[in-house]
Amino acid sequence: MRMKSGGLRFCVGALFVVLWAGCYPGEIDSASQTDVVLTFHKIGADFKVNNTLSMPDSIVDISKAAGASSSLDHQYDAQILAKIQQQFQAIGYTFVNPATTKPDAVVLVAGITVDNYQAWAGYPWWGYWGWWGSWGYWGYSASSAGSSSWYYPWSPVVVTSYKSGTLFINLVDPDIPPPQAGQAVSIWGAALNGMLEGTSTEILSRIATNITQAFAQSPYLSTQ
Amino acid sequence: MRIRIPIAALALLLLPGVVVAQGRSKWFGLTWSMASPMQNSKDFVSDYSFRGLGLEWRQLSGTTSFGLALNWNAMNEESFRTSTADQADLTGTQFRYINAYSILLSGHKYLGQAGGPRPFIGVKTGTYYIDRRTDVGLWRISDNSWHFGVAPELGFTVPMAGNLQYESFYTTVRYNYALAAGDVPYQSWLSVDIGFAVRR
Repeated sequence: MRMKSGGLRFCVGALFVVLWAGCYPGEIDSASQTDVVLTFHKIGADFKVNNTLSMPDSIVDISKAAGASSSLDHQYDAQILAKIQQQFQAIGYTFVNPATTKPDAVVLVAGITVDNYQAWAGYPWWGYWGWWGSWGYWGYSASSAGSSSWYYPWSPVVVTSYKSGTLFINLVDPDIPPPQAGQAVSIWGAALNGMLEGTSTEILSRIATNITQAFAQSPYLSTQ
Repeated sequence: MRIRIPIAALALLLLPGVVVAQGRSKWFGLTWSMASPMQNSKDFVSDYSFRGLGLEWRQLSGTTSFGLALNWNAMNEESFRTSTADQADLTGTQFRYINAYSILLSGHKYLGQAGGPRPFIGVKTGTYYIDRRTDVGLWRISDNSWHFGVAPELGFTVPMAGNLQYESFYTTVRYNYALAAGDVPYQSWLSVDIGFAVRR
C-alpha cells in the first residue's frame, strides 16, 4: 500500500512540476519588443497656428555635442529625417527653406546610443570547476575571446552587454518666450527608445514604425 | 531563478511524507492553483493564470477543521498598448505580472458522509504579499505590499478507492480579497485549486 501511495504522490507531484515549469510567464523575446515610444506636449499649446516648419538635414549626436565620444551611426540620417518630414506633411504641415522663409516652428532631431553592461554574480559557476586544473589554458582562451560575454573561472560572474538607442524629435516654437535666454521651448516631443540589435535594415524598419507610432498617438498635432 | 522554482516545488512535494506518522485527524494537501484576476487586479493583468501552487494543513475534528494554508499565484499579461498620463503618452509592449503570496488561517465545515465524496465550505483569512511589476521596453516599474485579506471558498473531496482510503483528490474555488494597502488598491482574484490530500 505504501508503495502505491508513494508512487501516486510522486506522479501527481511530477505532474505539478511539469505544468508549473511549462507555463513560465512571458518575457521579451525579440529586440522589437523593447521598443518604446514616448510623446509629450506642452499643455495649452496651439498646434493650429504653426503651419510651416523647417528641419536641419542631420541628426544631432547628443554625446558628441556634450563633448563625449559617440558611436551614433549617421548612415541613415536622410531616411529617418525623410520619414519624420513625411509624417508632418501628412497632417498638414509645409516645410520651407529657412534661408528664404521664416518657419513657424522648427523640428530638431537628436540621437544617442548607450552601451549597457550587466554583471551576473549568481551565475552557476560550478559548471566551470573543471577549468581550475587548466588555468594556463583558460588564460590563453580568455585573451583570444571575441564574443560579448566573458566567463571567469575564478569568480562566479558573467558579463553581458547590449546597445540601446534613443531618438528624440522636438517641435520648437520660437515665438514662445523661453524661461532663460539661449533656450527654446518645445511644444511637442517624442522619444523613441529600444535595443539596437539586428541588421541595419531591421533597425531602420523599427525606427520608421516607431516614428509612425509617435504621430499616431499625437492626434492633437494636426493643423486641420 | 528558473532552476530554483522547480527545486522548491520538489521540496514541497516531500512534505506530505513528513506527516505520515501523525494520526488520521490531520489533513495535508498540495494543489495546483489557477487564478482568474478580478476588478482592480483584472485592470492590471487580465489573462487567466495556470501558474500557482497551494500547500495546506488542516486539523480535523468531526465535521469541522481549522488549519493553515500557503498559496502562490502568478498572474501575467503581455500586451501592446498606449498608456496616457497628463500630457504624456507611452506606447510599447508591456509585460505585466502579479505575484500573490498568501499565508492564511482556515476553517472548514464538511457535509456528506465519511468515506464518500464530501463537499465543504470554508473561509480563510490572513495576510497577502502582492508584488506587481510592469516591464515596458528596457524599463521596469514595480511595487510590493502586504495586505490583510479574506478568502471564502467552496470545495469537495473525493476519496481514492481500494487501499488508498486515506488519500483523496480535492478541488476548491476560492475568492481572494486583499484589502487596499498604501497606494495599492484592493486586489481580488478567483482561485481554482486542484490537488490531492493525505489524511493521517
